Amino acid sequence: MHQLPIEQQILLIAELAALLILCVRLWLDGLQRIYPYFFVYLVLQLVQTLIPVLVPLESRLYRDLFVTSEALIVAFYALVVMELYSVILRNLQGIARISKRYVRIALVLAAVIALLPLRLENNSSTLTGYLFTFERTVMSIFVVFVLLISAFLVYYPVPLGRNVIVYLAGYATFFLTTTTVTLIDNLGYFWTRLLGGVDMAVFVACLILWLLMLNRQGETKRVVVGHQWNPSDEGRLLAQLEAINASLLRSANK
Amino acid sequence: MSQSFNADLIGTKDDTNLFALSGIILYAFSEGQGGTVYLHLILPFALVLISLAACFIGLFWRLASRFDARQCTADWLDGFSLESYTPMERLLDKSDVEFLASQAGYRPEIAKRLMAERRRIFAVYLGRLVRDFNQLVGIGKLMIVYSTQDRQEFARDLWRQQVQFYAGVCSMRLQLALYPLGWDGADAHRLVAAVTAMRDQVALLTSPSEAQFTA
Repeated sequence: MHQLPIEQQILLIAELAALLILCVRLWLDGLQRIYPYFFVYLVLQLVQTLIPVLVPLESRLYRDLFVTSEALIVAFYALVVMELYSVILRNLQGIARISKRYVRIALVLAAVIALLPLRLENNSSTLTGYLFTFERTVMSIFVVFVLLISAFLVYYPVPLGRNVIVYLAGYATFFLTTTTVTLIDNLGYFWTRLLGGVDMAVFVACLILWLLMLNRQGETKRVVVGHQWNPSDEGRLLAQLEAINASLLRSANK
Repeated sequence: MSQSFNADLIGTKDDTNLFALSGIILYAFSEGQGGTVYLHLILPFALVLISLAACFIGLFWRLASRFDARQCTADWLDGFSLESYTPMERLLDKSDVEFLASQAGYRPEIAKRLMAERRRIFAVYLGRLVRDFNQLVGIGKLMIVYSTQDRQEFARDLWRQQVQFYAGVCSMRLQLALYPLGWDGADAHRLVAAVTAMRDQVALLTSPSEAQFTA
């Protein structure tokens, strides 16, 4: 009878406990109404974590259940990321078109970058092999996309609540770690016990971060300034910027 | 411990049996066997991943420490003036050096020390100009984010101004660095003349702010 290594058994118990407590915590704080996809994702993750407890690991049923649940979870990763982005940019008409355009470009760029290592991957032509290749590609897209979205949020002073920053930090860490582990495995390095342990540990750490930092108070957006700008101020501002640039340009060109 | 399983059932790689739990738990009954291992890819991929991690850390640090937007007010915009940068006009002017050279007791070291000090002061002024420019850009970004209408054109202009400015500053700093090697220096007269003309134009555009402060 196969079983997980001892350190992964401990991490599995910690993961189950963290997932359960986090789901309850989000429910009690009412955050599942603000982030429904994230909540459903956590529930799915909890269910998937219970599979090896209930189903023999060497059975075909385990494989089928794993593949199905994993495909669902990967789909929910996409929904979770887009949900967070929608929450952040809600009611910001000033950057509506800019943000839509930026998201389109970011997605295309992320997809191109994610597909680059595809030819180097060495997965078998089996159901799970295809799943691992698909998973690595999709997770890579998320890593790059979250990076680009974070850069957008740094550039524009969009009001952010603490929860959003905590979510982003957790997603970034989790996606990057999972992508790394899956990529290494897909390239043919079978350090599976070590990588599996590392990946589990990072996921548990992310769950604990969300457990400790996510709460109702974290939804309060840090309103950067309460000020209604006069449209003529835009003209003045641009004129000031142009004056500075004109003087610099003349100085540089002599 | 090594086991072999039906590859069609489980998805094995040679003698390695892989079970993925939540996509994040992978354990093998036999490790390091089978398949083609691209050993030469470890270093480049590691560098890419470390770079990504560093980018994330930097970005989240910036997200967690946003600039103090309480300083970005209409009063600041009203009070901003390029006149405070007028001294930059004379700082690199060689007429002072020529005057010194005509005096008794002149030594080349005196001119060298004078110009080195003035370049240092010019660099300080340039640093303040960068700071004020960034403040203006910060105000512009706030205008865009909090606008009730889409401001794509304004955002595009702002971006263009930023690119031009930072390119100009890089060029200026490079020229300052090359100054001791014989570069003639910035034509500060033309610089301030252009800035003065633009200041006059800006004054015409300035109108009393109707902004209302809300709590």
